[in-house]
Amino acid sequence: MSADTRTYELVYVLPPELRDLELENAHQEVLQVVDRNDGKIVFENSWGIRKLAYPIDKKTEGHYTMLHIDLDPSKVAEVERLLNLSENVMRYLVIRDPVA
Amino acid sequence: MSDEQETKETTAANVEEPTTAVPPSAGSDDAPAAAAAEVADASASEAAPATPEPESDPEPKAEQTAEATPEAKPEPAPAATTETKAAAPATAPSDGRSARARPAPPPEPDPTTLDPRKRVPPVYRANQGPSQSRFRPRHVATDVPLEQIHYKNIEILSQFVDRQGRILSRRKTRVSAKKQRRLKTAIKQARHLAMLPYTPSHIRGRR
Repeated sequence: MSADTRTYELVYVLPPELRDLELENAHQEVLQVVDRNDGKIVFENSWGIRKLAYPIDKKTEGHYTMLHIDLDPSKVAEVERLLNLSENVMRYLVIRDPVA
Repeated sequence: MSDEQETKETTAANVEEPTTAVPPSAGSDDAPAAAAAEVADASASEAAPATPEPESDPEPKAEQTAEATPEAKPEPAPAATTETKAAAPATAPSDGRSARARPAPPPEPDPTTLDPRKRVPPVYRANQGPSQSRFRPRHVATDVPLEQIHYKNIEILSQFVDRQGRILSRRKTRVSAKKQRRLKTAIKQARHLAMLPYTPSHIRGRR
């Protein structure tokens, strides 16, 4: 991580009904959002399908994916804005300085 | 004067009798009352020998003096009766108070000594949770290293949440302020990602 970036942890949840290509496209959409904001993915981990603690949009499960990205702090808001606009992303969470 | 004393005397006698039969006159000043009674009886026997059984056991004497003195006693008896009366009203009210006060305390202690918890219906008490018990466990959740407090660590976070999904207070978790702060944010982050419930799922709808 260079001087003008920080490491962020991004977790996003995709709908469970997405399969294969749809799911891959949805992942690509998120990765493009990061990429277009000069983010660099340093770590990626899929948690697979998890049960939701409460239903979201009548869905009870979701694909969880975690990324560690080096990102300019000023771009975080833009990344979040685009994730909000995304049809697929049910939930996301960006936190600073992941420990694990 | 004799009329007043008569009335007072009778009232005093009346007061004495209901509270406790002998003690009021005999209890506090045994000697004066007895002496007064003796004097009264003596004078009564002298002046009116017709009065039945002047010398008898002390109990009737009080009554006897009360009734007998005004009738036959010119001077000595009233003095005696004034003494007895002076003694009697002084003692009688106190006795009356004490007699009233003695029965009074028992009702008071009963409700107070009755444990308020015992009066609460058991069902309600069961819902009170651990806080009502003085001997509730100090630690509801185990202490946890700071590094492990993370929104992903649901096994740990769920320890710091009650069955309704509410974050436990520090009073219950007994965790340091720093850790409690981290727990708070971690739990809220986990909730946002639907990894922890905001509320019991049966309220939000079944899964």
